[in-house]
Order: sequence, then structure tokens, then C-alpha cells
Amino acid sequence: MGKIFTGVKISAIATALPKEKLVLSTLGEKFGAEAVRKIIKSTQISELSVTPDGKTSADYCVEAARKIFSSGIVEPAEIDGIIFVTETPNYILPHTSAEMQAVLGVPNHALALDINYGCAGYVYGLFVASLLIESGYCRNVLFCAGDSITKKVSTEDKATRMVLGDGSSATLLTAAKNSAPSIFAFHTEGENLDRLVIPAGAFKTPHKPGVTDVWSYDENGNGHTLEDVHMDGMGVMNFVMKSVRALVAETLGALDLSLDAIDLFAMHQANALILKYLARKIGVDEAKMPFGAQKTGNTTCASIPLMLSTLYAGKNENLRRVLACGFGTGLACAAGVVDLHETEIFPPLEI
Amino acid sequence: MENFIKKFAETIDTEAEITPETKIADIPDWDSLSVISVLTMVNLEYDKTLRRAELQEVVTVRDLYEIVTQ
Repeated sequence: MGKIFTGVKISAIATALPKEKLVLSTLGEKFGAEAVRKIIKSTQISELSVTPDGKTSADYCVEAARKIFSSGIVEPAEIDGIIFVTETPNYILPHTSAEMQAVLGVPNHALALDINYGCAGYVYGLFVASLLIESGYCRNVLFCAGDSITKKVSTEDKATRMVLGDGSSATLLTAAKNSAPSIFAFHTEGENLDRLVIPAGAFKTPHKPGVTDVWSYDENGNGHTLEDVHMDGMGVMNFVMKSVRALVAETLGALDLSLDAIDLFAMHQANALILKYLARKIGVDEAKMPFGAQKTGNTTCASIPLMLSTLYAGKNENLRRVLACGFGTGLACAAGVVDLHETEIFPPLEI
Repeated sequence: MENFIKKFAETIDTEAEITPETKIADIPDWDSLSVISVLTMVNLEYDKTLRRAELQEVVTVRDLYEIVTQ
């Protein structure tokens, strides 16, 4: 099972963030100073990046892509595929990647594709880009991933408000001969989709004034409307505890790799508590499973590239085997082994 | 039991005195973060996954200990 890719390399990763920040210690009055202190201590997230009105994740992805173009690694004219992974598109229709194609000056013949995906989305995007290249259809895929999820987070819900932030990324994947083998594995539990969901506002339950925009409060005092992100922390955590270690084992097993053979575990940056748990559960040193989202929050599908951009800017000769693993909405989990040792990683742009 | 209580108190970061008869809902600042923290501690230390239905039955720390070690 699984497809081993040997004709693709990840050439560059760039990220961009809103310069606007929410300092979480200022929420003490709203949520209780002691509760806020404990949450920050556990998650290690002290600030969130917050997209201002009038901007969206696509704007920041465009800036990240421009960073790659301005470095001279590739020109827009050479891009023949553009993918945008997001849960916060610019429009219901069309796909936002069409707008990005035009804004970035990517040729009209390029394939342009949106993928509606959350925290496992970065790994999905790497996989789809790799497929496009290895099939021979594309040579240079610009893969953007980002969300402005704070626009859908209730200001009255400390479980999500204290954790979710905004971030965006652009990753360039290029055809290569005899690249180091990469492989991917996936796990979906759609039966548990209500554990992490925005229940209303799309087509199944459309916006209805007085119904979907009415506030209700749960037993913990957290308030939402049906158009906000709802997270069942216990349900999500039980999914993470069950699925992530198994999928990591499956991915490594497919390439016959031991845990020791992995140079870096680039996990979805949900929060420090979850990463600490996963490091112990999987059996790796915490230093090999770093957390870098202290000043941005959990940036959903952009969290893996943002961690790399924050902690590994430059070229990293030692990142030959990187396990990337995302988990979240779906509920879904995705993992892949990739080679980043020749990847140009740019530090985050704050704009 | 003593060891469990110690880990439990550390996990939820409380200075309140915890005994087997302490009612969990009465612990100051017991909230959804505490639930997640205890869930992960129990999974790591006792290799047990707590289900929502099980937790709803729990009143005291002793109840929790019994579920975890049964």
C-alpha cells in the first residue's frame, strides 16, 4: 500500500503572517485571570496572529509566494500548477486559487485547484502536489496553505479563542530526478466530524438570522453561535491519542524507517500540551518534535510550514528525513516522510 | 492511590488539597483544560483512554481512580 515518490523535491517554503496580534494575557478579565494563566502555561501560546478586516489568508499566501519568486528560485511563468489548501476561502465560488493565479502572474495554462482542508491539510497538499509532478503533468507546483480562522472563532469561547491564530504559507515543489523517497498515509473518521466543526453558514444549514446567529452557552460558560468554530476538546484529544501514533508507525513502516532515522518530527502545531503528549506517546525526544507557535497560535493548515519557517530558516543539511504529520478537522490525520535538506526555508514575513 | 492523587494534582496545577473523597467538580478552576490534561496523563501513565460516558459517572477522585485502574 502507498505510493513512493522519487521524482519530486520541496525547493522552498515561505510563510506570512498578520502583524496584528492578540496578547492572550489581556483576556484575563473576560475568561478569568487564573484560567488564562493556566491555559497559557499548558499551551505555551501567549499571542495570536489575527487577520484584520479586509484581508484574508489568500493575501498572506500571495506575499509568501512573492517571497519565493523574489529569491530567484523560480519565476511565476514557470509555475504550471497552483494549489490552495484552506478552510477560509475568499468566495463560495470560484476557487480562490484562480484569483491567486491572476494576482501572482502565473500562466493561464497552469492547473489551479482549491482543497478544503484543515489541520491535516499541509500534508494533503504535499501529497497532491507530488502526484501532479510525478504524473508528469506539472514541473513546478506552487502549493499555498493558509487560514484566517480567527474570523470564525467566537470571542466568548476560551477553548478556541485562546489557541487558534492565523497564518499562511507557500511551498514550491519541483520535478527532480532520483529524489529521496517520500511516502504518505492518511486516516479519516468522518463519523466524528462534529467534534470540530462550524455547524452553519454553508449550504446544509445556511445562515438564517435569529437562528444560526444566536448565542448559546455550554456548561463551561463558553459561548458560540452556530456559525463559529465548535471544538469538543475531549473528542479531538481522544482521536489524537488513538490515531496519530498508529499513522506515524504506518508511514515509517512503509519506508522501513525506525524512529531514530527521522531527523525531525514536524507535527501540526496544535499546542505544546498535545506535542508534549505525542512526543512521549510516540517515544521521541521532545527536542525532535519542536513547538514554535508561541507567538502565533495554532495556525491550522499553515502550522507545519510556519514552525519550519520560525525555527529552521535557511538551509538545513541535517533535515534529510522529516516526518510531517497533521491532524484535526474531519476528523482526519495525515502523515508523510519528506526530504528538506535542500529546501530553502524563509523566515516568516509579518505584514 | 496516593501516587495517582499526586499526579492528578500536578496535572491540573492546583494547590487545593486533594483527597480520594474530593468532588472533582468542586475543585477550584476545574475546567475543560483540566479534563484534557487529565485525559492525556491517564493515557500516558495508565495506557487507558477515558470515554465521555465514563467521565460522566465520575464524582470523586476515588471514582476516577477506580475507572483508571479497573
